[in-house]
Amino acid sequence: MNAFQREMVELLPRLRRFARVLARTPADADDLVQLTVERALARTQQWTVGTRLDSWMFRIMKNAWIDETRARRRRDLVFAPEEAGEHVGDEGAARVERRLEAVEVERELARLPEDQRLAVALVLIEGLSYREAADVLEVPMGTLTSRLVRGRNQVLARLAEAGRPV
Amino acid sequence: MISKETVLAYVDGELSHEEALAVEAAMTSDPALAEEVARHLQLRDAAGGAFAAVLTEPVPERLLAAAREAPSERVARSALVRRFGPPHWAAMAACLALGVLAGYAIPSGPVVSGAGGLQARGALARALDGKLAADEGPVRMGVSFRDAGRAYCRTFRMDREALAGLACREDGRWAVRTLAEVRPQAGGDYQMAGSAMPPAVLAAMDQMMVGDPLDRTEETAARAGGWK
Repeated sequence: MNAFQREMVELLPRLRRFARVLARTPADADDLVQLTVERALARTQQWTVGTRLDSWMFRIMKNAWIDETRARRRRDLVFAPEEAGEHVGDEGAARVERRLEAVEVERELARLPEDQRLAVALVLIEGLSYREAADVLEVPMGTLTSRLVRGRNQVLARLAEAGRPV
Repeated sequence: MISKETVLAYVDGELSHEEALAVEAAMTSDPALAEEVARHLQLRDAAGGAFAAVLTEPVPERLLAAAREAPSERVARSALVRRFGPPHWAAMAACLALGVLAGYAIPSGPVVSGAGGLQARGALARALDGKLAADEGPVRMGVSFRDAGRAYCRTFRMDREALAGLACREDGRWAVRTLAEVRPQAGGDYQMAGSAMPPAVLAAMDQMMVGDPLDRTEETAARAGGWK
């Protein structure tokens, strides 16, 4: 295992987290992580040493997800659609308020259009700067900020509707 | 007037010191603005904990294995594809649904389903073995190249069946990795140029190719060596 791979192994938990934002189920999310790792290994030479590996891999994951969802849509034309069960975590009554809030944010994030969901997740969950998030999504800064505004206002509006204004 | 973008940039720490001070000054005289900032700060706080549980979960062994795998051991295959079934079957089913394969018996067709996926047979297998790029015939070869495992791969087109695909050498056979429908061009005819590959095939090639495509000399040598 080389240094690149060691750094990638350390990133796996965060890659899995970002994949949860994209995919509907944990199993799909981990499949997406695996695909991302395979693609990253195939393109090691395209990564510039000294730049952020996380941003680079988030971008690969985003593109892998776009490719897969396109392929999936084509397959769905032929095969019965898979169950579209919304993934909601196990909400035990004993869970602390703070955890409930995160679950609710997860649920509202899942309802956002994909472009807004990714923008919000990269900045709020992954803590990327606007510049870094725009690079991952390969969009201009203005596009990123408008997705952030629309996505976050939508989440806040729906939390308020659900009687849980934050 | 502070814009929504500025409110978020403030919350996200994207403003300069002076700009941030201006927002804070406006908040003191504008309770609605102060409330908006507070709501977004709370959302940011709550969102930071979203999906946090996954960070402390043990990483599945298969992901660790994928990350540690030596590049030479890698096989360019999609994890999602493995889970959801081979895409070539989907492509074939799509072709069936579109009537492209109508009257075309799968058991005697150019591919057969084997343990490791679809395998080329018959005229397709013979063409993959023996044809060079640009040779004439019912099966035409496109680009030959090597994948990450140093195996030879070739793109092909079957004009009568309106199918194109990508096959790689695996255990002495041609494993069909991608199969896609060739759509008629605007003129109503199938474009005959070797470069007219469906996007799915081009994308698969792009993802799998390591190094440059083989030139005619290299292709001839690879054929002479049995594509080993």
